[in-house]
Amino acid sequence: MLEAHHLVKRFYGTAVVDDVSFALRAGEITGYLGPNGSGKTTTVRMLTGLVDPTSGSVTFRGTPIGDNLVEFRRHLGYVPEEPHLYPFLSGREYLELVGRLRELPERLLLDKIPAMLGSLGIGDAAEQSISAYSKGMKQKVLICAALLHDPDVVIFDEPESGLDVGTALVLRHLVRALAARGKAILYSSHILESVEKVCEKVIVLHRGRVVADASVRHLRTVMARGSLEEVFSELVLHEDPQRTAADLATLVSAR
Amino acid sequence: MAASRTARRLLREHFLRRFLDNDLISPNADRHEVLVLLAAALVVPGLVITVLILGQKYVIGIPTPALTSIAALDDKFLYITASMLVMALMAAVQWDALGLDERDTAILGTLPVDTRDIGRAKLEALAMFVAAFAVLLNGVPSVLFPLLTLSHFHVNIIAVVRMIVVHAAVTMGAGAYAFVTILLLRELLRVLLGPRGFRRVAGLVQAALVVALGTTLLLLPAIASNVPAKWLRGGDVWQTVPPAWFLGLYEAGTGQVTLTIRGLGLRIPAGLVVPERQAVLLYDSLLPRFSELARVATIVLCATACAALVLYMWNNRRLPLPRVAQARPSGQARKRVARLIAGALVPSPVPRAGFFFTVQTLTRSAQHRIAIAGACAVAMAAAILLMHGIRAIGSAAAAHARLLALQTVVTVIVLAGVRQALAIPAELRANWTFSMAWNGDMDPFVAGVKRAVIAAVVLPLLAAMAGLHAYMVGARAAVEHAAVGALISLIAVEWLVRPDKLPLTCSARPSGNLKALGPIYVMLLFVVAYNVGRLEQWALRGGMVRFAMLVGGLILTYAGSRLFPLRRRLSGAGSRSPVLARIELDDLPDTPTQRLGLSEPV
Repeated sequence: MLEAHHLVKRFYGTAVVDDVSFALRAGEITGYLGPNGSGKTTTVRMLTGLVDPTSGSVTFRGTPIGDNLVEFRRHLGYVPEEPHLYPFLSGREYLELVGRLRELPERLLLDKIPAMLGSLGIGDAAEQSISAYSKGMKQKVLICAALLHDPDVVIFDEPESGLDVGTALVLRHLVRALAARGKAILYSSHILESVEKVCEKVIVLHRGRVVADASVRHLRTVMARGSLEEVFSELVLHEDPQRTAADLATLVSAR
Repeated sequence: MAASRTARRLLREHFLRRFLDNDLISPNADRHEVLVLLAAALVVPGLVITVLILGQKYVIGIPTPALTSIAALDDKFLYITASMLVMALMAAVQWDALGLDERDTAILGTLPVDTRDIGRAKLEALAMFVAAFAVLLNGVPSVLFPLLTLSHFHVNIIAVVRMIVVHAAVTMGAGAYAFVTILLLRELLRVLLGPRGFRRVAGLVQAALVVALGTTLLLLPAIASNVPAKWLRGGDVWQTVPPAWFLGLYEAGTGQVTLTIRGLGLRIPAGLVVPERQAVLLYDSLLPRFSELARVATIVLCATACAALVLYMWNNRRLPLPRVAQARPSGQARKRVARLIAGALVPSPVPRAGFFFTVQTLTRSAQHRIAIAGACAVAMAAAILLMHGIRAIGSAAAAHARLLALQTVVTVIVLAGVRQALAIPAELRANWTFSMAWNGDMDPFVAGVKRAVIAAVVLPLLAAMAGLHAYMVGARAAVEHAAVGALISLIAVEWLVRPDKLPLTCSARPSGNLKALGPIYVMLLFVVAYNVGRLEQWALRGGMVRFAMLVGGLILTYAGSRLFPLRRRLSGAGSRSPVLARIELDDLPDTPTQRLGLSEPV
């Protein structure tokens, strides 16, 4: 449904994303993993059309998204990494703004917004201004905003950031339910456990390049590792984490 | 102890930076540029008034001591009042940054620093900021004005220095008094209303202060003229005006110098002997009042500063608790009313988004509120000037053209402020919301913005002015006048709310040649408003036919002004093209050199 073809993004000559290609298919949840600075968020921004690639292209149903970005975004839901919202609006008002900009009928918004906020446990705070929301509450508003228009492709960038355990579990079930309804989902996260539980397939990015693109089970089998965490360590961590931690602890106690 | 001092110094620097990097300034603004512009804005008016306007008056015009003393009263009153108003206005604009806030809690709350040190550092930073502001504002006139007033008299250097010191101390003291009065008001509101109540009213109080202080500042030249005459006529009432207390302090401080000059036995030109004698009598009659007022000024300044200090320390004895979202009744009735209004005014989704987003931003965002409050202050000053000398007559037939022009002038000035506010992004970092949900067509969104401006700005303004007009020219004429005002406002909205970029989201486009065209626009506004007023006068005197003709003409003008976006749409600029779909929501403001016209835009 959504395909990245040889995406390259350079900032001041340095390739942050280097020749990344993959496809998101309907009904499939693709995990997107990588250490800090590996280019995950930049890739996500290129996929959403927020950033133009230096070279390569993104196609939606075979058409480059740049040809009709508006049309593409009608089918796209996006939960960004940073919860930047309008602080003087309430949660309900923000979702109404998004829904109206997306030309959703007023009746639908009236029914859907309170129900969605209620389901995520912030129905009571719907009229409170966003400036008083915790990070998790803002994240819940972002999730509602991304799904309000029933998109075909949903991109989650660190969606569990700030969420409580209960809501994180709800989110995992929600992602599976959305995939079961035929949505193509990209799930970019640092939390390996949730990626392992939610995603059928993972793409591992390291220093801007794809180092693995396969199903979780296949990766575990091929690399003869028991968990995704071990696979990830093998692929992208070149230092022994235990030793790094010990060195850091020594530094912390230094006087 | 030393660690505490270091922490306080660092905190002081942090808070000083925060005064410049507050929410009213774009996060992308260059701090040096802000500092330079602020310093220039404070220094230049004092320099211009002292050298260009007062220079002629004293160096060429008045060669005698008593006449100089009397003439100088007006100018001293002007300096004192200007200092007070500007300092109070600065306090009102910095309203949110005056005390510790939730950001301080988030940033400093976890550090191992005593909360009292944080409060003290904030207070010291505030004092330093006020002092720097007062010096920039009053420094140049403090040196030049005494030199000008003494230019005809051979007095010793000690007298000159004394004049300079007194001028500086009094004008800065008056400014400090005005600042602490606003601070006292803020802290008093915090104590009386509690954190939640204070948050609720703070925005409204801030906007009201900006309007009141801005209006008074603009009318200051008129207020500060002929002070001694007003003083003698006004009696005790005049002495309750705070600048008069500080004028008393000024004269009490420089009285010795004035008497010394008189004692020099200067030769008075024959034509000035009588006026000089009258001036001596007038000045001497005011002398007892000066010392009385000086005492009042000293007591009031000390009492206000002490009260503000005590309340400030009390309110900032601990860091404010971060706001926590709480369950709140959903206000079904309010929502239903809003939905009904929106259903009638903006039935389609995108205009409705523009409508509500505009109303919410203009009423809730501090930056936008200040921009509109500033415009309201200018409009109010213009209205007071236009109303001067016009009496209520209760009849449309004798309505003055100036009175009828008032509505147009006020509406257009406020709409110009709204236009400025619409060019300020509501929150740059949240622009991705529009990027993701944008449908590529700006016109429907702008249509919603225009309707919001009409509903939230124009209609309340016309309703407020209709009350005044009903009193001045009678109820029927007021209704007819309001109808004409509504049509003129619709035309003004079409002309002024015509953005090149998406309102309230994109970085403001620099105003270009506004510095050159600004005065022309102002003159044009007054000429057009006056002539429209005369036209309306003609229509109101001539019965329904003439009134219908005027209304018809305005409707045609409105229809004509609506053709512009239609032409744009037909030429393809407003269509749903993929090109327009890529509205640049992340563009940075132009560089200072571009804004100042020192380089070609890249």
